[in-house]
Amino acid sequence: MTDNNENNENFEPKIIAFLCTWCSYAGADLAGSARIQYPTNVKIIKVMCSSRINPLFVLRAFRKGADGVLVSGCHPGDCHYLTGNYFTRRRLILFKKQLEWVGIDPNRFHMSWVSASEGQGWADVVNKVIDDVKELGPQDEMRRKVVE
Amino acid sequence: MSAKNDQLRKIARTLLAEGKVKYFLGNVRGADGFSSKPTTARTPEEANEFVWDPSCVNNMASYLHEDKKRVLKRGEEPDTRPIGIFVKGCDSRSVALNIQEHIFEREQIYIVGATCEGVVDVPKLKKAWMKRGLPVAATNTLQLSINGDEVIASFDGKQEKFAKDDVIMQRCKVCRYPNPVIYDELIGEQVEPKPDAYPDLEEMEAMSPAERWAFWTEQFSTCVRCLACRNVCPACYCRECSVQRSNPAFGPRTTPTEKMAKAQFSNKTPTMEDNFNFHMSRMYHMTGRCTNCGECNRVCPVGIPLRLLTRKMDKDVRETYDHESGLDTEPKNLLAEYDDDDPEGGFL
Ligand code: SF4
Ligand code: SF4
Ligand code: SF4
Repeated sequence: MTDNNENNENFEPKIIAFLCTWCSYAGADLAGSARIQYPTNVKIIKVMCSSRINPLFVLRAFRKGADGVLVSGCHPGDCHYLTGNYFTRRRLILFKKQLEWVGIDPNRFHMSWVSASEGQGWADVVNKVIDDVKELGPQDEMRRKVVE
Repeated sequence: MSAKNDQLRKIARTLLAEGKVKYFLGNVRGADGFSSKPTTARTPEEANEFVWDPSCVNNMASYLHEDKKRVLKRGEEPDTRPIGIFVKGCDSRSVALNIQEHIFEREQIYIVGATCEGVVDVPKLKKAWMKRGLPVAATNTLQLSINGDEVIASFDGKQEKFAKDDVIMQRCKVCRYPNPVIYDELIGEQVEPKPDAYPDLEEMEAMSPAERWAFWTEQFSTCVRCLACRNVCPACYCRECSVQRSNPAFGPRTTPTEKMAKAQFSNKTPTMEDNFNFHMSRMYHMTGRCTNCGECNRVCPVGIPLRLLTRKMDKDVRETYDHESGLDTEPKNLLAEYDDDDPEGGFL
């Protein structure tokens, strides 16, 4: 697509992050207001709760060309809606196993718990995800190709 | 006619004659002689055509959903009698799943269960038949039965024996529930279940991720998206399928909520990427619900080994959450429940 993808050295991955509004988004916000530096490759989509994230959203992100996807919510027990993230946990763990089964590298898809007070934690997660995805290179498997 | 056939016919006849069921779902002999086809019997005479032999591959639970789609005529009273259905071991789990998910209530289905030693893979049997140069016309009088390790085909007073492992469905080789889990009436003796193992997954588990991707790319790219695998599945009953929106039109008054509900997760063109999305969606939607009846694998016209996906899913679910669907009628749904102590695998 872009020149970046030709050359792994300068490859800047596109990461789509689905964050729950109460913990992870607030955590990312805190990282910003505390002026913690982290790469800008992450494009954040805010949802009300991590259990709102249909795994099909993840597939769609990959199909539209995301190099990596991150889903983040409140720590278990801290959910604003009390139980939402418990459902997320079951879903995503199984979904990730399914992706692995068809041969997608597990490092393409990450899940994390980040609370509203963890600005540094958020930056660490982002750095880890970006490192992992950079190692893998551009995602070409699930990206929708347009045939001329 | 075999004793099993007679037993099934007698039960179905009696039920229909006494008006205990509104209709009865079962198999009758198919046109090609080898296979059987699903049928609805509404009169005792029709019930006389029923067969129960190793050609009955169809999972009749898939046809229960048709009942929900029927629209009543004006002034017509709904028929509240139960639906009669013939099930094998694996099918009974599909029926149980539908009851677990409140698609039907237990009283709405009258289950005639049959213990099962396996059913034949019809294409494989046909191939073996042709290879031996047996007469095609003989299939008019063909009768199949299973005896120990052999599938016996009798026709015109002659007998032909096939090794069971060669012509039987793959799902039957690993069947852990050959005896119906729920039933109102039972046909046949209890059958020994196969050991709890996943020999069919070993080959794939040994592959590297790159090899697996190469394998699935090849498989998925041949999918023509006929959606037969979805239509036949006894656990797929949504009015509108997430991979096949029936009314995706957006207008100026379409609200964001409506747009959201109509999101198209995979395009209709059967390209590799969209097929991949379709199969992953289907797999995910079946997680913790699929009863491994193997019907999707059977109906696929291009022979994609969908059972490799469903079996793996079954294994994951059992290993991680010790959950198995369709074993009883208690409401139970893996992804709609949670436990505080669920494993915490893979979260950063
Ligand atoms: S999977 Fe089991 S119950 Fe189903 S047809 Fe095969 S042997 Fe019979
Ligand atoms: S039955 Fe086979 S070809 Fe048809 S949609 Fe399913 S996987 Fe694709
Ligand atoms: S094996 Fe296939 S057809 Fe049967 S329940 Fe599972 S997904 Fe549905």
